[in-house]
Amino acid sequence: MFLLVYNLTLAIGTILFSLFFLFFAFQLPAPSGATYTLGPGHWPIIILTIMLIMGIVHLLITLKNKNSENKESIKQENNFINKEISNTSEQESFLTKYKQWIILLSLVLYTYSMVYIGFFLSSILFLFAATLIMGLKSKVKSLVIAIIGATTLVLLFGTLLNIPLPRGVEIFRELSYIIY
Amino acid sequence: MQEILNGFLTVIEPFHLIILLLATILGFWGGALPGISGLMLVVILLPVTYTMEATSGILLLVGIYGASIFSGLITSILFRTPGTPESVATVFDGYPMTEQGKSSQALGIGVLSSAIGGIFGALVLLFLTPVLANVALSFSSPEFFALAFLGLTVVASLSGKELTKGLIGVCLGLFIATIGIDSVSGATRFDFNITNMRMGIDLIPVLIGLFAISEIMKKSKEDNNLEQTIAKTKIKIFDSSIFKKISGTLARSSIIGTMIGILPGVGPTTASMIAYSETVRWSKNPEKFGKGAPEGVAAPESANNSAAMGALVPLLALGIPGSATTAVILGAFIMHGVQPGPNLISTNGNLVYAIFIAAILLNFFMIILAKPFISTFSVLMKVPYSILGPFIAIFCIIGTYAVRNSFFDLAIMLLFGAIGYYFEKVRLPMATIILGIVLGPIAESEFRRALQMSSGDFSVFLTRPISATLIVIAILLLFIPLFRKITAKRKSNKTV
Repeated sequence: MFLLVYNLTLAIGTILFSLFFLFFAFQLPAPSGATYTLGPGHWPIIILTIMLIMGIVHLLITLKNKNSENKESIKQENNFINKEISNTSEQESFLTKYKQWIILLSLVLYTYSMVYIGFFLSSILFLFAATLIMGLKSKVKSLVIAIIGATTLVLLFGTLLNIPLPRGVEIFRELSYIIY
Repeated sequence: MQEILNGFLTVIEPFHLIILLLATILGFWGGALPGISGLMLVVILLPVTYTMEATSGILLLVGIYGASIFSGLITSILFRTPGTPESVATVFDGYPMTEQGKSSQALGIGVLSSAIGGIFGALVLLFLTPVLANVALSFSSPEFFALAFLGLTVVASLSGKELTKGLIGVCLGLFIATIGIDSVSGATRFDFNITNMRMGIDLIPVLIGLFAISEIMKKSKEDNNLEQTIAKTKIKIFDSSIFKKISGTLARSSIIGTMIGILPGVGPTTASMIAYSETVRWSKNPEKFGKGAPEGVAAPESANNSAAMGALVPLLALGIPGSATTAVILGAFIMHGVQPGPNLISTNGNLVYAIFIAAILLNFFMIILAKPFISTFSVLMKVPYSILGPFIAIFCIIGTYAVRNSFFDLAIMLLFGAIGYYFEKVRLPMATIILGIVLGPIAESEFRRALQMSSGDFSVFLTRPISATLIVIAILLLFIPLFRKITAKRKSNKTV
């Protein structure tokens, strides 16, 4: 069932995506000049058209396979239910269920905070949070890893390899110059 | 001959030797640690090489590429979990050998076979690339477009059973490559008046997002506190009695591996599988395979390493990547302002020959470093993914940020992380997107130039013999899997 939904979203997403950009591609300026040239819009139009066709083909294939896939997924779901019955004692918590999105969210916050408080501090916060989200049990261990890790990264990339790291704004910017 | 000597002199510069040594160690880690593949390591380190000079940067990436394919064998043999997809076939006989208490022998055979396969592949690379590039020197725009088109049809073999998904991926990649300022007309395309979009979407954020960030997301769902233990092993790399036994297998598998590696789209993974099955077919007592036959370790390991080198032939001679990792290496060339293709040897001869020599030398480094690496490996295996994962995430962020100091790139990286996670679920092969982004600009500019040459006559691609041949091969490559599917369906219908 899941795969069917994913396949349908892929097909419909592809069709909408290509139609959306085809609209803009047709508005690109036409080539000018005496010699024959292709304009900036031609190549994207060719690609987006192929993409549109592939989206439609994929939609048709998915719909055609729907029945056989349904049977298979019902079987799989039955298995899944059986498994779930045996696992009722370990019910999935909110954290384990959406872990991947929480990790992504923490990365977004990490990136966003870097603009303001700089690389060093935001890395400590991120490492502390992320190791715990990923399943590390001890908070003390996580904090130690975060501080040592962030320091090593700053020394390795900022000082040794001279790679520019975000410094943050105002006071954080001033402070960062002390470290790297 | 002079070029070979120059290449040799370039590689033995102390700095380049250190780079190569570093590449070997990093590649070992990447290949051996489950959760990091050679591809991912090359992807993460690509931005770091940005600040380096072209030769050092590319040597580092090629070295990691070679070493990571090599070291996948360690976990295959010891834990039955291949560190890289290229070492899947090594499990078949490698792990039974460990169960029989012969893990050190298996590792020794693996190391030796890998090195021999790698050296053979590198020698073919050294002698075949200039020949092939020479043939391609007479190419003009229609042929270059045909070459890029051929490169794009690698998608067929990358997408397995579902060609439409692969084609959607490749189109998405080609489309992403058109965003920003059009180099021919100067018009901006699909920028929606956002300044950062006008500069185009860089390969690196997309690459790191699709491959590394999505992988971290996927891995976060698994149980990350498992620690694997490793028994102390003493490895004997060269054992003359065993060497005699496996020498035939080594020779055959190295040849098979190199040949398969050269073909676009079929990489080391396929090569190791085919070499394994051929070894079983040729063997006088095929029943011993799967139960710990030394030949069963020698065949896949020599084949995957020789194929890895073979895959560099079309990359360096024609500018066509044969696999996901070589596509990334192609991206590295372009990032350093070097355009791979038939002209590469004449414009950057020193770099190309340095790569050849480094590819050979790398195997000796691997033999020397294998023993100490395997014995220190136990310490490394103790780091759980709950610690490793966040660090990989930070490496991705530093790497992406370093290229253009842009937070926009970081946003793109995270966006493609989410997209990559979804594509993984929907089973869309992500390497196809990279293929599109890397080959898109070449394909488009040569396409437009060719049509300008012919004043808009599309037959220009089919009237020139080489371009026509390449396009026909490309179309065949694209549709062979489809035909195979249809005939297989018919057969199964008949049996029903």
